[in-house]
Amino acid sequence: MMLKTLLRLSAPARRPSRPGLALLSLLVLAGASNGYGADAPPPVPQGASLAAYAGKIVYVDFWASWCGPCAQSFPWLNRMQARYGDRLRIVAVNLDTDAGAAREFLGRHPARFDVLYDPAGQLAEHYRIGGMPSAVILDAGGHVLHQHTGFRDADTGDYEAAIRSALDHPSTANGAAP
Amino acid sequence: MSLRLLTIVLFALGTSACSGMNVKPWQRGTLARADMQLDPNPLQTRFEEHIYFSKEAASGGRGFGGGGCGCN
Amino acid sequence: MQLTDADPKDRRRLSLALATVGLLGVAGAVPAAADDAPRDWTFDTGLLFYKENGGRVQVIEPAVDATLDLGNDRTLSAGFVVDSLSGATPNGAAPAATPQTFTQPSGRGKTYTTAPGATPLDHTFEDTRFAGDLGYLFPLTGGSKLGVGLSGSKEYDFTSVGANAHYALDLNQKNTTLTAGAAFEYDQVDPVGNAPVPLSVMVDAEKTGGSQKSKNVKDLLLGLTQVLGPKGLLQLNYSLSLSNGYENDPYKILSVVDANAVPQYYVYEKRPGSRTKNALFAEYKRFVFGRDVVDLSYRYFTDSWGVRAHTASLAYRWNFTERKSLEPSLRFYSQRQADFFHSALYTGQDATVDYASADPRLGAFNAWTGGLGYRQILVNGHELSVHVEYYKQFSRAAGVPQQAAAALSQFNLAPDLAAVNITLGYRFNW
Repeated sequence: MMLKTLLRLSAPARRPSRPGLALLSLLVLAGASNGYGADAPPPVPQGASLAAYAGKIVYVDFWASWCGPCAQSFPWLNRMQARYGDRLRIVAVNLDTDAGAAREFLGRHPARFDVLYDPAGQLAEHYRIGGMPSAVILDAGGHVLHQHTGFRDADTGDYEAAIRSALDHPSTANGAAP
Repeated sequence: MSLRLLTIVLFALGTSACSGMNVKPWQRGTLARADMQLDPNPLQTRFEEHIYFSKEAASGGRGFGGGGCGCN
Repeated sequence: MQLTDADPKDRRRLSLALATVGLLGVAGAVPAAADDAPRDWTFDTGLLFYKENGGRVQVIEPAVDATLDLGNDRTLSAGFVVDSLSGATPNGAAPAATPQTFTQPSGRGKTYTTAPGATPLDHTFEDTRFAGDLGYLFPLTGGSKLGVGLSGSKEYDFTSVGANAHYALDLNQKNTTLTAGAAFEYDQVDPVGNAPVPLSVMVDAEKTGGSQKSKNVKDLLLGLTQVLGPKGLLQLNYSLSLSNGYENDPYKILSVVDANAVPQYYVYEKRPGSRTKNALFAEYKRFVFGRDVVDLSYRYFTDSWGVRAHTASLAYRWNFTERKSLEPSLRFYSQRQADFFHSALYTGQDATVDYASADPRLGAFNAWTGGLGYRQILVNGHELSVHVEYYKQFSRAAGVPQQAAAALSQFNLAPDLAAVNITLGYRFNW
């Protein structure tokens, strides 16, 4: 089931507090990316809307057809979407520049969750993802509750614990619109 | 941890001058191709190295690691 | 888009997912999959045919590499190769104006004769080598990986065992990778008919240099791989090799000639007991025309025996369809002879030299290789390949003793070597 939904975020994403990791990331990005100062706000993608996900916890998964672990993650994502049903919306953001490659991948690894296409990498840039695949869990207000890079079978317990923790997060209770 | 941090700082500073060559993790589709790996045909390479090792005096040099999709 | 990249080694996980869905009682359409069989193995098989000109060496070499994805970025690998060699190889003696007779390495009165003017070749080599290796690769914390491995090989007169480890550290969001590798190898040679005493005269009697010789080799590799934009990759490596022990080829001799190039007797070669090799290597790969790949590499080699070599290589992979490719390649190699390389020795010189060898492998030559490879991904996802190469060495005479130079110039002291090889390959997941 594929739904083309645009995401708009009301506030810039906040990172989980881990000072060493934050400093590390900023330094690497200072070296690796062009033009971003450590304190300049990143660009928000134009015309994005989170309306469809109001009051829901969103698990944003960044993937591409050429990423082996992404192929391994799809069955697990299907399971998570089935298990947490309506309370959790999984959105898999595709970063292929070749749409045909993404389609072919989805033929081999069907997704029973929403798929979004971001060939220019704007959303990936916005969330400053550090590796492929990457996942970001957002609360109803669009704040980043959890972020992880990579997908490993051995860590799926941790990923699911993060989902459960996000579902129990206080901001979910009031279901505030973004 | 701090030694790794120091290494990262040095490299980030070192590469910030040539930051144009670094790519974002999601821009590695081409690098992930089988034919863009450093040794896409290891068996063929081994045959060739074996032949050259038995006919020539020089050997060595080839390495491993790096490039690719950078996943996980 | 390469089918072999994100190729489902995940089919096992897919079938696990289906099982879990079933247990939870959640109804859902069964995802269409070509099959649900586990795909954790990758097999890479190949067969090499190699043949030199002039009745020289011929090799048939089947090989298999198997890789098992253990999940969580851990990989097990194993390889096996059988190397069946036959044909003639130069024994190091120089051509002469009259027939020359040499004792076979096994001694016991068996001899072989070389015609006048011809390069003496020993036809008695027929050997089969078996070699295997095992490896295990796993991630360490901090974005690094470690691989460890064992290797071994066995042939009639030679046994080798080794261990290796290699480490890779990713930096700059994996745009930069630092690598370090180390290997240790122990070789033992049991020469046919015993080892000769180096620089002793070749006679038709039991050789007295000992029955078992050994050497050990320690290798170190340091490397840097750097991504150069979304379509480029650069690798720089330095390798060091330290070898100690029995470095001689127990079957190679040198002619000791007079001023008229008439061979007086033959002596066994002698090489130093240690060898230090250095190599600097650079490789650049670039994706071009939105379809093809160019691969350029260069290596500079020096060692403590005085050898200097340059190797330059260019390959162009033309992906003319999504599943088929043609890859022409060209390689140029240039080598300067070892310090102790001699085409022949002058009478008495065998008593004064520290080391001497006439092994063409240590001589001076340029070599060109032209190759063409074809690769096809089949409908079932397997990959078929055929690769043909033509190799030619253009040798230059070196180490010619001055006193006999004029007389020796009537012979071809540095014959060219030409060889063809064909490799068939088949790779598949299972």
